[in-house]
Order: sequence, then C-alpha cells, then structure tokens
Amino acid sequence: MKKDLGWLGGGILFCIAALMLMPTPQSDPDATVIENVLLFDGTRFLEDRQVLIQGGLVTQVAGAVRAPAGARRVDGSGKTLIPGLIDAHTHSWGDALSDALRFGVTTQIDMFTALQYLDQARPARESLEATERSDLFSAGTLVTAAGGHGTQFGIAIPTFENAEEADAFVEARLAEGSDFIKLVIEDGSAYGRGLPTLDAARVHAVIKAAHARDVLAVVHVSTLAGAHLAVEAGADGLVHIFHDKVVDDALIKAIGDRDFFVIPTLAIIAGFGGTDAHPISRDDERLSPAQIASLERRFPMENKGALTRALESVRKLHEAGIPILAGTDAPNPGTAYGASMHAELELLTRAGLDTAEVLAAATALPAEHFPLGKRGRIAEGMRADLLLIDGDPRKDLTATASIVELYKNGHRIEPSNPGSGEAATALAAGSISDFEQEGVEASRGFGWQPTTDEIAGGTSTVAFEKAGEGGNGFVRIDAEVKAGFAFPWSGVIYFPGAAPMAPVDASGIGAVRFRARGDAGRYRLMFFIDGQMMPITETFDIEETWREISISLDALSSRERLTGMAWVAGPGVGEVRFDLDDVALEPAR
Amino acid sequence: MSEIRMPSMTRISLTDTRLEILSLIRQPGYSLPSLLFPVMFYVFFGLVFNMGRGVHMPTYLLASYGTFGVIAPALFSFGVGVAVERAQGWLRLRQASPAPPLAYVISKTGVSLAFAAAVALLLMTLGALFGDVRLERLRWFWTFGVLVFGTIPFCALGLWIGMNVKGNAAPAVVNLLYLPMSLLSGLWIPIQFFPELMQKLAWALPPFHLAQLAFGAVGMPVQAPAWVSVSYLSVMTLVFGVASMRSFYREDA
Repeated sequence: MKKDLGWLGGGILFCIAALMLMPTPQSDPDATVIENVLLFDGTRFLEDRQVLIQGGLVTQVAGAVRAPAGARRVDGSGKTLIPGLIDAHTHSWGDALSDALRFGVTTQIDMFTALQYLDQARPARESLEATERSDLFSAGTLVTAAGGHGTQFGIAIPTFENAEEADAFVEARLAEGSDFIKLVIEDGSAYGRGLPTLDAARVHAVIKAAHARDVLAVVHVSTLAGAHLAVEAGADGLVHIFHDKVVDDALIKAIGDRDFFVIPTLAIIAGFGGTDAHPISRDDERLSPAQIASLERRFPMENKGALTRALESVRKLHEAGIPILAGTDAPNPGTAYGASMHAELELLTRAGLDTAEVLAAATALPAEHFPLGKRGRIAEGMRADLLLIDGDPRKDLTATASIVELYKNGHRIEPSNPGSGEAATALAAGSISDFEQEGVEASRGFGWQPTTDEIAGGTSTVAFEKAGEGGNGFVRIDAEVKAGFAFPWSGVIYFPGAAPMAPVDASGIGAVRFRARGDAGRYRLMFFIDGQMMPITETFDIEETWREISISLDALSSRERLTGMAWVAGPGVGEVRFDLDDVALEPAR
Repeated sequence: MSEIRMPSMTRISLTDTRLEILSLIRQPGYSLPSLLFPVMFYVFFGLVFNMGRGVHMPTYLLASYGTFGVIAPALFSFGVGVAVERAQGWLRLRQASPAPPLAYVISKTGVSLAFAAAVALLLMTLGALFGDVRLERLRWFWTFGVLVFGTIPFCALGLWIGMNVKGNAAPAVVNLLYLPMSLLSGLWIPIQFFPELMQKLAWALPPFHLAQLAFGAVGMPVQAPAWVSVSYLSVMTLVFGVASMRSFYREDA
C-alpha cells in the first residue's frame, strides 16, 4: 500500500512540478487585444479576428493571438477594426492634425502648406508616443507659375521661369523637407478665368528632376488637357480629378500599366455644384466651430455638371484598374479636416467602388503609393493607428464615422471635443478705441498691434503711434508696402480676444464704424476667422479729410470665431500714411 | 507485513494500477508506439513544418494532437486489452477472484490516466521548448486536466468494445473507430477546412468535443459551447459505463 501511495503521490507531484515549470507569456499590461472583431486589414475583410497591439505596433493578427498576461481585452463583436484613415489631399495648418484625428484620420498627406508649419508638425510622425494629432506627410511648397494657382494664399511662393532651373528648384524643395513634389497645371479655364500656369517644358523638367531623386511627382489638374500633359510628362498621380470633361480612352491608354494613381477629391468638387456631401451632422460634437465654418463656406463660382463628370471619370479610371486614393482637399470651401473624409468615402461609392475598395483607397493604397512606411494596413509590424468602428461598413458605410475606440501609435486616444468649455466670449457693441488716453490703447480686448506680410514671407514694414492732443487723439499709421509677397499688406490689427488671435463671438455685431483720413486711396479691412487661413477682406476709400466709414460684417460666413480685424494698406506698393479714430462696433439689427 | 488486513477496494485498485503500469513499461512494444505516435505527429506538423497562418500552430496542435494522443491509450488498453484478456480467460479468473470487479475497471482507468498524463506532458514540453508555446499558468493546469480526465469517456467506450468484441477482432475494430473518428473530429486537420456537412457531422463525434474543451483550455476559439461538450462526454461515460456493466454481468451468467 505504501508503495502504491508512493507511486501515486510521486506521479502527481511530478506532474505538478512539470506544469509549474511550463513557460508563461511575458506580462505586458500596456498590451491590448481586440477580440471577436470583423477586421478590414487595408485590403479585405476577415471575420472573427484577434489583433494584438504592443509597444505602438500591431504585433499579431490571428484567429487567436497569444496575448501577454495582463493585456487589456476589448470585445470587438458587432464592430469593425479598420486602419486609421489617410487623407491623401489636405492643406494642413492650424488645428488640422487634431481636427482630423477626432474623425479617425490618422495621417494627412498635405499638398502644400507653409514651411514653418511643416517644420514644426512633421517630426512627430517618427514617434510612437501618445498624441492627439495625426501624422503629416507633405509636398511642402508647391511648384507653380509666378502669379499662378497656389500663390493666392498669403504664403511667399518661389517660382522659376526656365525649364533648366527645374533641377535646382526641386533640390531646394527637398532640402526644405518636401516628401514629394506637387506641380500645378492650372490655366483657370475650368473656372472660367485665366491664370498663368507651368508650361509643358517646365512640367516635364520638374517631374524628371523629382524622379532623378527618387521622389514622387504629383500634379494638380482641373482639365482633361492638363491630365494629358501630366501623364505625358511621366507624373505619378493626379491630386484632383479634372471636371471639365469626362476622361477619354486616350488618357487611359496613355496611363497603361504604369504605376499611376488618382486622388479625385470628390468632396471638393461636390461643392462646386452646391452639393452637400457630408454624412457628418453639423451637431457632431467632434466638429470645431472652425470646421463647421469651413464646411459652410462656398466657392464663389458654381459648376453644376462638375461632380457628374468627375464621378463618371473616376468610374472609368477605376474600371480600367487605375488606383483611386481618397483625399478631401480640406479645408477648402465646403470641406473640413477629418470630417470630409467620410463624405469622400461615400462619394467614392457613387463612382462604383465597393466598400473594400473605398476603404483601401483611404488606407492601404495611399500608404503603398506615397509611400508612408508602416501605415495603412493592419498586419504584424505595422504602426497601430486603428479605428474600432460600430457596425459593419459593408452594410452601412457611415459606420466609419462611428468611432468607438481610436488608437494612435498604439495608444487608445479619447480626443477632447472642441468647444467643450472654451466657447468664445461674446463681443459686445460699443467703442473699442477713441484714442484719447496715453498710447494706442483699446478699452477692451488684447488691443492694437502692427501687422504686415512679414508673417507670410513678405518684407513690408509699419510704424504707428498715438497722435493728436486733448480730445482730438487718433492713431497714425506709417505703412510701407513692399513687393516680395503676392498680396502685400501693412497696417494695424485689433485683437478683440484676451490674447492675440483668441476667438470671440461677434454674432451680436453688425458693423465696424470708424473715422479715417490720410493719403487718398483704397485701403482694406481684413477680418480674421479662427481656422481660416485667408482673411475676409472688405475695402474702403480714404481721403485727406476725416470721414466716417462703416463696414458691415455681413460678408463673414461665421462671426462666432472672430480673431482679429486689420486696417491695412496694399496690395499697391508704396509708402502711405493714414489715421484712424473712434473705432466702435455697432450691434446687429 | 505481520498484520492481516482486509482487502480494500482502494488498495486493490492502486496495486493493480501500479502493476499494470509496470507491466506496460516492461513490454514497451505496446506502450512506446501509442506514446510516440502523437509525439511524432506533433513534432512533424506542429514544430518542423509549421504552416500555420493566422493561429499559432504549436499551440493549436498541442490541443488537437494532445486529444488524439490521450484517447489512444484509453481505447486500446480497454478496447483491445479487455477483449484479449477476456479471450485469454483472465477476465473469468478475475470474476472468480474475491477482488471486486470494479477494481479491475479502476486500475485500467488508472493506467489510461497515467498514460494520458505522460502524453500530455511530453507534448507540452516539446511545445514549450521548440514551439514557443506560452500559456498562463492556470491554462497549463487546465489543459493538462482536460487532456488527462478527458480520457475517462473513452475508457468507458473502450470497455464496452472490449466486452462485446472478440479478442482477435478488437484491434481492428478499435483502429477502425479511432483513426476515422480522429480525422473526422478535426484532430489532424482543422475542421474549418472540411465541407460544411462534415463540419456538422463532427458534432456527433466524441473526440470533437474533447478537442473543443482542449482548444478552450489553451485559449483558442471554440465552436461548441463548453457545457455542450461536457454534457456530451458525461452522457457518453454513463451510457457506455452502464452498457459495459450489463455486458460484464451477462458474461458472468
């Protein structure tokens, strides 16, 4: 009996000891496993997957992953996991990257922005730290003709005249930090106006120079003829679909089997026809006032057939097997960072792409074509920029905007909604400055500051001072407007908020009234709106004698986020002097 | 041993088990193949030719070949063993002896459990060393428990076969049952690769349910809820246990 028990006990002890020696998974409390989830991996849908996120990366994708001990487990049943969206056409500045992330856009491919912004925003894309901002890739400064499309935004744009300079020009862009080269072929004909544009020789030379340096050359076009030139010159892609005509067979034939893609930016083209293409409700809490303002802005021109032609072209290009990439052209009128991406996806389905193709256009395809490194797909070793969305986008594509969990660099991010607790204070009617005190004082707000095109790369200068005595005080502005920037200006700016460019709600204000005199001529009053790069400009005339002038705020599409008002000379070049007095706000009627 | 002790069921069973195990060790012709067969399978398909995409194959196959490995000793030692011993008259001798008949069954079950434990530990060790199998501590014990105690329903099935099949026919019958049943239950090839109808058919087979419990234990997704598999295997134990008892007493008569 003792012998038997010895055997039994020994056997059991041996088993326990052996089992205690078996290896266990390493513990990683920062790891996350998303289970039972419908996966869109960037190319196709896979049912009932598990995805393991560790150290900022996707480390396993399987029917059953081997998760480390302590991993956070997320039940993905009824939900879909897709790669973070990539907006392949933006103009990023200001709050672009955080505005976009709230809507699941984890990477923006910028098609032209200010270099200062690029320098500051771009390095973060190398990091795997937690962030509320999307990653940025950028063309940097675009390549256009002097005075051509792209020079109207208040940023100094270098240009060149002869094809022989293309090499040095491209070299300079890459030295500035451009990830690829963007050219503009835009004669304005699709918009019924004439614009200077790059000639064929320069287009060819720039593309050749880019390819010699192993970077992409992509082209802005708005006409079929422009597209033909781009393809002929060897461009890698179009960053808009042309909309003057439907694509012809010759273009498809010319593209042939080349690596070539089209970023149609249907969201912006829809705006030409006044079509509202926003599955995102204006009540969506993720929209900032600037994003709402951006969505509500409209292009001055209307071109009703543009979207129909554009959709037809995209359909034909897609059928011919040419990769279609999703991009919005935000924040141009009618679009907003992030939000319009969901509109673009919907528009692409109208051009005949199925759900997997639409999602690939916003994930794997741009990542592959630009290329964007380990982005755009959900697979082992890819960056964990992921969206867990509610429902199945194959049944309802608007599911892409119902983001349950958002992962950026492997960190679960819950972006704070804009406007929560930071609604702009209301701007009251009444006097701002009568200039009767010492110095250039305002009775409220941050007050008066000089403003010139220097902030956009210009060279204009300004000086201003309190002038006049005893009840007759005013401010005197000596402005020197110098050439060097496309739209030079020089003058003074009033900041109504507590800090420079802090927005105030001016919806109770109907007009700005002031008295002015000075060198006779046309001057401008520029209204700066939060989130809009271009100020809204009204003009007024000054004569040698004091005159009272009233300027309505009716031209401001959104008065809720006024950040500044600037009285400036320009764009005419030269030295001028003008005086301002008794600046006041009139209530809206 | 001066004092005279009453025969105890526990004592007899234990001694019987130990002696059975000893006899197995001394006749490696039987024990080695059933030990090495699943191990060889596991090493080949789980560790050397790791073709798995999506799931971690060494972990997956630890469960499926583990199941394959532990049901063999149960089916063979009972099915073939009992039938042969019955043919040799050993069973009749046991029936005539004062040792309770249940001790015979218990000792044979004990052998199967010991065998299953050996197979399970062998596969686990290989998986851990060469297949990078990593399980939480509780899962190692749970998997071991499922594999070892999961043999009991198959002991019942084997006993029933042994009681009802002629000695020389038994190896053929057991093999005809064991191999196709293992294949159709998805122990060799994941059941997901089968046509729809065969996948449904698998739900009727006992190894499928034991494998489902084993998959659950190693943390792999399962198709059948655990309560379904546990119920299936419990009912199976009961049905074949009672049927075997009746055969035993019929033999007696």
